[in-house]
Amino acid sequence: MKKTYTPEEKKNLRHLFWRSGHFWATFNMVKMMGQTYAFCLFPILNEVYAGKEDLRREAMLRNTEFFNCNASMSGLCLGVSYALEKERAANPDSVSPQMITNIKTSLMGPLAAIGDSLFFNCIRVISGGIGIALASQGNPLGVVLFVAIYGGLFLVLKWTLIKLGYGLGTNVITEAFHSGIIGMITQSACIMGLMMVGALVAQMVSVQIPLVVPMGGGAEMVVQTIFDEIMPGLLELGLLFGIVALLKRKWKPITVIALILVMAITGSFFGIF
Amino acid sequence: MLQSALILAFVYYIVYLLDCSMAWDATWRPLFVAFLTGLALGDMKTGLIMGASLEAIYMGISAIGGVIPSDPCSASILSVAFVVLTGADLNLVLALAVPIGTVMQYVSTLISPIDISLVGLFEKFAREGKDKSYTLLHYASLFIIRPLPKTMVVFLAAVLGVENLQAVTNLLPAFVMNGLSVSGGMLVAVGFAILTSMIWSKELGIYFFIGFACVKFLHLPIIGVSIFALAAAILNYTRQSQIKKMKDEIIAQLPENQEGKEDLFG
Repeated sequence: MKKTYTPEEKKNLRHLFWRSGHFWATFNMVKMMGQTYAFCLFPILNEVYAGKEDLRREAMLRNTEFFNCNASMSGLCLGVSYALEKERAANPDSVSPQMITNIKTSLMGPLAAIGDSLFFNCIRVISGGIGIALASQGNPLGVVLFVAIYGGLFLVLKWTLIKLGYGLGTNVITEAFHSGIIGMITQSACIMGLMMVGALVAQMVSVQIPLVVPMGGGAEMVVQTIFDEIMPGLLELGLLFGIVALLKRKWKPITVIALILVMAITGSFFGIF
Repeated sequence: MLQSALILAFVYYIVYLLDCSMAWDATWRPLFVAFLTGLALGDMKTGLIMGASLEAIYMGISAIGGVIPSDPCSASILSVAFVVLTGADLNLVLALAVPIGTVMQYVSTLISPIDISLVGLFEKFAREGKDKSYTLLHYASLFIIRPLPKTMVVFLAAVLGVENLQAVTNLLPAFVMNGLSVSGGMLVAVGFAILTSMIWSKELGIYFFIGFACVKFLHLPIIGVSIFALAAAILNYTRQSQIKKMKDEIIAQLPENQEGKEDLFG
């Protein structure tokens, strides 16, 4: 079945495609690709939330949140986000902001894993093999083929996924509204979102304290081992929920960031990290 | 030397712009970068041959969670330049490429606070709904703020030589470098903390710890966790719909609803 798009939809899908090329332009360790994610959605947010300034601002800020995925596979998240933001603009009470974040967050982890292994372990190896064979003989066609195959597949997959995500998002959400199950979907999305964030925190956040305290008589105490014996990941969880508590007390993220940088460098000076 | 250093900095800038406007990996790989460097310095053949070897070397080294152990892009530019400009032995330079990339990666870590410093400003513009200012800052970051320091470093490395650049970075106390690299793992926690406080729910919070334990204790890959998460979501959904069905049946049987009054639980 071929889906037909209105001119606005076509234009917005194209916006997503070109703007999502900028993912590395504002990449950092705090939000990773999140800042560009919001940038990708701007034309859509401005369109669907026209005349609803509060909702528009909320959506803009919400989309700058942490996002990390394979750059090509992120197309699916963007497409789904487009559909959900559009639905939220029409029914602000039924589609909660938490639900949109939960769906995006539960998609990004597995998509990143699939995309990274597909591109880095499969497509890059094959196209690189072709490119290397030709380029090592001094043939520039090797470079052309490498970029055409590796980069071309990247773009084709991204475009397909943006459309697929938008289609899925629109169908599933419209269906959920008609059968009145949106509330149950919201809760299930929350379960997935929380579980995937927990898993990603365990994978990506790291705090190590290799400090060794001499106890006299040749005995010594490795601080990290003590924490690991209580529970592996205790420091990471402590750090995360410590920051959550600070944010609740209206600390600005940039202040927390500065605090961490100062802490890491002074801690490193005293040999704690 | 100055002229070729300028050419190299320009090549870096072009490759950087290609990478940041398409987000693909293709034009950032040694195969393309070495070719472009060779072309710019007037020796395409050396560029191609070195690109092929460097690509093979770097094929095994891939970024894990945004952390690259050795920067393939600047390593390719500088090692091709080394061979073309000084006529050094190609194989000797190939052996040096990965260490050159590591030095350049060190420099990237050192200048990473520049990118982080923009987080607050981006958030401010988003909160105030100023999409035009946000977009302007985005393009400023794309064209100037992010590429400029690294382009200058490539230029300096070409003028001074990578060994001297390393000597300069060695002047910095080791604890600053170490502190910056450990801060990476902790800064990610800020992003996740914002996300967690957004989606946190008291009755469902336990699922966060299930996901955490799946990775920390069971060492499951993310795909594995996502299967469990999907299963938990589906189980919850079916249970919820059973409860809803039972509720509807009970309401329908209540005497006051027998005559088709309004639904209490809506």
